[in-house]
Amino acid sequence: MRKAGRIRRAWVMGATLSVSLVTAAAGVADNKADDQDGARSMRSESPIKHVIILIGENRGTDHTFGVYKPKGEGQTMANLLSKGIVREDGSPGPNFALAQQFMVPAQPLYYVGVPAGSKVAYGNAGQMPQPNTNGAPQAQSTSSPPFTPAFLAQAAIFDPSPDFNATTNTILTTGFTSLPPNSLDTRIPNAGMLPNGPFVLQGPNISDDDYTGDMTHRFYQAWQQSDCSIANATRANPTGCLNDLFPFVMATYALNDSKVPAVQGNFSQGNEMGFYNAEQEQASLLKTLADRFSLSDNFHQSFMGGTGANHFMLGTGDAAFWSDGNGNPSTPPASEIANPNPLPGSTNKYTADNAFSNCSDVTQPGVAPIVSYLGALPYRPQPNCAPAHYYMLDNTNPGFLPNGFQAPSPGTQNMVPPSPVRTIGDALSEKNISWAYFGGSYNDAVVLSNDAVKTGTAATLNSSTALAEAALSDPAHALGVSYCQICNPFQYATSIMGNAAQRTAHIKDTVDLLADIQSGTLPAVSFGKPDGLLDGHPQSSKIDLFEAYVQQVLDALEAHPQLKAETAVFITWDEAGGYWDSGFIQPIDYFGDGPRIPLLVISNYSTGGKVNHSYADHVSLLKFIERNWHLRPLTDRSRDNLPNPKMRGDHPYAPANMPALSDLFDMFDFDQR
Amino acid sequence: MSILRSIATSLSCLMACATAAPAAPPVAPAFSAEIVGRSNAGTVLGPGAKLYVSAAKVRIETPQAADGYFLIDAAAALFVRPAQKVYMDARQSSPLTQIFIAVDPADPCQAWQAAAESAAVRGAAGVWHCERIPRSADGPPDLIGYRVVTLDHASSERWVDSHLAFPVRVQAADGSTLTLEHVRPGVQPTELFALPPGYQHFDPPALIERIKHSDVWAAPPN
Repeated sequence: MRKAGRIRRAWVMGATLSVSLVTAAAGVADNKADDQDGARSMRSESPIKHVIILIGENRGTDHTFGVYKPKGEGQTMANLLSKGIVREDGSPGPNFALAQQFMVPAQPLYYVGVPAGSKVAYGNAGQMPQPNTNGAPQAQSTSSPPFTPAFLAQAAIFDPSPDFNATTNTILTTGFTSLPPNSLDTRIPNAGMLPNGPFVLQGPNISDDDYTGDMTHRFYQAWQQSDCSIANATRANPTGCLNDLFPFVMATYALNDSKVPAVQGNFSQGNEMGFYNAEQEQASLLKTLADRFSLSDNFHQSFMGGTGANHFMLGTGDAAFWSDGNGNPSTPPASEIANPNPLPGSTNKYTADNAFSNCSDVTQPGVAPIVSYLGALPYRPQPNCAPAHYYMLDNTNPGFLPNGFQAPSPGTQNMVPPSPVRTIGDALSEKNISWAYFGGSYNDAVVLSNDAVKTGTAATLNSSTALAEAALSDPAHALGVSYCQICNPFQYATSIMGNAAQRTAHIKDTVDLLADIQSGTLPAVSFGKPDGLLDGHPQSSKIDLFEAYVQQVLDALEAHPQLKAETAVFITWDEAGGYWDSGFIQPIDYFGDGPRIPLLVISNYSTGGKVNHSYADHVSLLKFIERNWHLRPLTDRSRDNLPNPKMRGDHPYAPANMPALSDLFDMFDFDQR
Repeated sequence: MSILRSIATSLSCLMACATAAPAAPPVAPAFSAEIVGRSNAGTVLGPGAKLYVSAAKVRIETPQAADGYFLIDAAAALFVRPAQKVYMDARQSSPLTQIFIAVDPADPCQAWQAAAESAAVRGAAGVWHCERIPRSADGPPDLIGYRVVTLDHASSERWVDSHLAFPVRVQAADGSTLTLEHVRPGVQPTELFALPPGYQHFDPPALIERIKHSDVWAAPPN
């Protein structure tokens, strides 16, 4: 299990050293690179000429920084430790009951707020669903992480992509469970008897270098887990989201109560309640960055649920919808339409756990409870659901393959028809402001896509399956299956993927991000997404692998002081991945917000270990870009139209002017230099 | 036919150096060469691939897979990544491994078909087809032409040099070509064709299975 402790510690030391260099004042510029830096000449609101947004997978704020003490003078942070839910060693604190989780008896219809008095708290002796290995790797392998050490004995892994380096080589060999899949995760101390609340992923057999079981993180499940009701509202929590049904929903939404749960259910169980201890050097690079730069403790995933919808919101400030491929809304196949109402005879098993809903129609399954709740909030947020639009609520591949091939039958291929939704890329291109999306293993994915087009599978299969089939025939480019299609909001867009020149200019690989930094041709706006092995996702990756990816980008910048001095690196995640969080949630529309996720801002103007409380989500990153480069909101319905929040002194996490989103400028001190 | 004559001329030294024809089907002698791609307009398409041949063993180093090299022994083809000490079945990682293999000039179709089957080319409704092209009166006597339609419906014409027992030119349906150039006869170092000891085998299915546990995988369950 923990084979790499010594190596990992050595790497942490290296990371610390590197970060110290990042914080150093800008030195002499490498003039050759500067000469090619077109972004420097663009007029900007701030001294920031380059923005790099690095996006990891599936970690929440309390999950990552739940036990963290800010280093900046006078700084405070809302987390498990400050609330007394846990102690500094991660054990239950005096207010542990604030995090207790509940179960709910069977209800006739889907709900997002449990009727008062109808829920029951789990007991404290293992009654709460317990952590489960789910699909975490049981042993090392020669073909997938964690690899056998001999496989990675040399300086690089099987792929030449700079996604991989000496650091990842080491930690890509470690962290297997040695436990059966879908079993109690006995690496976690006291597993099987854990009390009702969060537990630390730390012990003799478990660390942040271990693969852990994943959990479901989908739209209707996330709303239900948040347990939002105006009846629960207080002055400090005016939206009334209690976040107290996390294990319950995981344990019930997919179980067949009457047959064979162990076979038919999901195995998320109690994994939602796990967290790391930053004060004891877990996720140590992230902690070091927080100590030295700025962290938000009120930054949120913009969409309830999973990866695709959150990335789409990050790129558009909006939700994707099913269309006829020419920009007109249309009805998806029935097999795509969600129905979260419980099956008769079950506690909470969803009737059809699908990905699309027409939320303009309250008679559609699952819609009315959310719309009713929004309508009951004092600030009356609009659902923002256009008539006859079926919105993508859960992961669905884009209608374009990575090489630009357009799937001819998206309805049967389970892919979203090409999207007309305007993206930040469109807005930047219109103003001739350079930008790119850098996706890990994209170049290999293009080769696999070409293979799939050649063999015909691209025209008939879902693109994930088509690329996997191509990988079987083209092992030299097999890593292309780890490129994340749904993470690239621009891969949905007709304006970009349907235009070969646009696609070639703006959709690139991690190798290009590092090369652009090296050559001084970094775009003004860059989105960086590691591939599926390094993105930090539980079960398929680890948090320290995402840290290694971040480290590599920071190291590349470190070698170019002038570029670094004018660059802001935003480090965040797509969503909390189903991990429980204690933070306030501001519902903005039908789609979100969701739980908190960390946001770190690395720049010479955001130093000092500060913690920012202004309410923000993914769309705040769009607002930063738009303010910095003087762009207008993307559309008249996109979330970047929302005002900056007016934060209250007495309860600093809920804006006085909801709904509101920060543009993040207050995470910088542009007057200091 | 001028191109074919040119190829024949470029191979003349090698032909002269070749040993006397044995009674058994010819086996490719040892040589090295460059595989050069040209468009149908004759434009050279980037840097060529390096080819090393020793009897039935072939090594190809192509810019299209610059981080490694292909090793072919009869119909079996591997892709080797030395920096990572890993190798894998080449399958369809490069079309070169299904064409540039040692063949019997009188019946290369069998070897090409075996290579295609080894590469597990997805068949759809295709039918493997390979036939000899009638020799033209002015064609070079040592080149034998074949017309091939593979299982994926790709059509090409391939010319085999009877002395080399090796394909020396391929023309695709769109008119683009691959030709052997700068052919240098001579014994090749045996280590060029050997899989170094200690290398690990990589197989994509386990990687795909791991990815299925991530959000990268967005295909619905079957």
